[in-house]
Amino acid sequence: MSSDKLKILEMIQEGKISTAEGLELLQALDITNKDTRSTSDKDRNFRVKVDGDKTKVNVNIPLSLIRVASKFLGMGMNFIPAQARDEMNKQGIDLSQIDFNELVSLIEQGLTDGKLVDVEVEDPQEGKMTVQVYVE
Amino acid sequence: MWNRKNSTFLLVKVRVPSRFNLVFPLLLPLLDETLEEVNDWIAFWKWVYNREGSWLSNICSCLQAGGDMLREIRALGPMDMIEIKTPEAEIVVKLQ
Repeated sequence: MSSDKLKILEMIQEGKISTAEGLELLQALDITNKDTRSTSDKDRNFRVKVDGDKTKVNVNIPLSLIRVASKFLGMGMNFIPAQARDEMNKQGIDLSQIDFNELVSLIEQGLTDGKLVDVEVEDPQEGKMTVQVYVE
Repeated sequence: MWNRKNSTFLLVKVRVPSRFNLVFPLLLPLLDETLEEVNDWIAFWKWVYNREGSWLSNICSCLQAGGDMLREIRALGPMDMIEIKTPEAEIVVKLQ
């Protein structure tokens, strides 16, 4: 239970607000939480940035799109020939075990402000390069 | 953001300096309708041959997911999605 909800319940218990007022506040809090969740999901992007002397890459994919695409990928697995799937199973790779939804959820949950990759490399041909993968 | 305009084109630009400069404009509403029509057509044949669980139903569900993805792409509104610049080539994918 969130601390805000707990505070409202305490206020009811102490008699500072009536039960009806408390209920109204709880409902308002639920609506606010839902709104911020949907806004953040729509506005967050999966970003890849490569900044080098010669090469520049800028990839910007919204998380909502990745979620829909993951459904598509899961279905695409059905088209892999049975023979190829058996061969992969022998190697210990079971494609049916990959849960794309969970992968997206993990990205969403674990990367609230963090970076997935942040590397700086010095390439003899390309020069200095910065590679960053993050959710914004 | 709730008033964001739906995007109409998915533009893919490929430029290889001193060789070629290509622009592929993909008309999203048309693609969406085509997918829907093909899906209806396949669903009909699936029903005629009563082939539940066959490759036909796999295609059907893939087309449906493709349609969902297209609608999601359209709802994103105009934005730059991919921009790759190297000395050899430039690739840009954007929604307009």
